[in-house]
Amino acid sequence: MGLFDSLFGGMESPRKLTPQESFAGILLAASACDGHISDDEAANVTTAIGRMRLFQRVNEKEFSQVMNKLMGILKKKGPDALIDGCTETLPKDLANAAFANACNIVLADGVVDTEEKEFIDKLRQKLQVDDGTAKAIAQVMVIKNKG
Amino acid sequence: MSLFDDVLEDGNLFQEAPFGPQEGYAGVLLCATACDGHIADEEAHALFLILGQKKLFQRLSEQQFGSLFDRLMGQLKKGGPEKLLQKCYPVVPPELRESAFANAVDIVLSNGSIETEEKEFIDDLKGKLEIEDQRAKTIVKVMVFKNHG
Repeated sequence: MGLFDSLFGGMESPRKLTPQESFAGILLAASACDGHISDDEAANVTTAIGRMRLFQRVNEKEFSQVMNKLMGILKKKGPDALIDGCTETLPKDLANAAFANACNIVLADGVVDTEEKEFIDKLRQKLQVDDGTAKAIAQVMVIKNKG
Repeated sequence: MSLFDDVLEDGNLFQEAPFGPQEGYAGVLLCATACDGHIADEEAHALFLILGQKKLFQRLSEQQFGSLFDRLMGQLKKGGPEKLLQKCYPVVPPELRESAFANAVDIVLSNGSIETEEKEFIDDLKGKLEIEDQRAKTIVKVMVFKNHG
C-alpha cells in the first residue's frame, strides 16, 4: 500500500462511501466529465448540495474533507470510476434527485458536448432511472437552462 | 395640475422606463423568491445562480445588473409580489416563458418545503405565462425530483 493511499482514500479503501459522499461524488463527476470543471458547474454543485437536508449536519470542515476525498478519486481514476463507486452506495430514493442535478450541471454552461452526453447516458443506466422519467428530467432541465 | 406636471411639459420626461425582457425574466424569479413573504437564503442563492448563468444577462455590467435589481426590489417593496409580477410577466420573451416557469418552480422548492402562498403563486404563474397543463405538470414533477433529499 502506498504512502498516500490512506490520505486520498481511493476506491480500494475498506470504508464504503457515505450517502453524502455518493451524492456529491455524482455531481462532481458530472461537473468534471468534459475534462474541466467550469465556474458555473462548480457553483451549481455547491448550491445543489448546500440546500440539501442530507448535508445539513455536515459542517464546513467535514464538507471539505468529503470534497477532498472525492477529488482524489476523480483525479486518480477519472469520472467513470467515481460514478461506479458512488452509484453503488447512493440511497435508492436519491437516484432521481442525483440524475436531475447531474443533468442540470452539465447544462449549466449552456453547452453539452459528446463526453457529457455519454456521461449522462451512463449515469442513467447506473442509477437505473427508467426511460420515461429520464427523458422528462432531461427535457425539463433543457427548458430550465434555456436563455 | 401639479407643479411638476406644469414644469415637465414633455410627459415622457422623468417617467419610469418600461420593463424589458431582462426585468421581466428576473422579476418573475424575484417574485418566486418573495411570494411567501420572505426571501430565504437558499432562495436568494438559487436566484442569483440562475440569473448569472443566463445569456440574457451576459452583457450587463455589475453596475447595470445592480441597478436592474434595484428597480425590481423597489417595485417589490412598494407593491408586493403581485404588483411586480403584473408588470413583469407580460415582458418575458415568449421563448423564455417555460424557462422562467421552470426556474420559478425550482426556486420555491429550493428550501425543501412548499407553502400555500407558493403553491398559489405557481398556479397563478402557470396561467399568466400560458404554460400548457401537461407541460407544467412535467416541470413540477422533475423539479420535485431535483429538490428532493
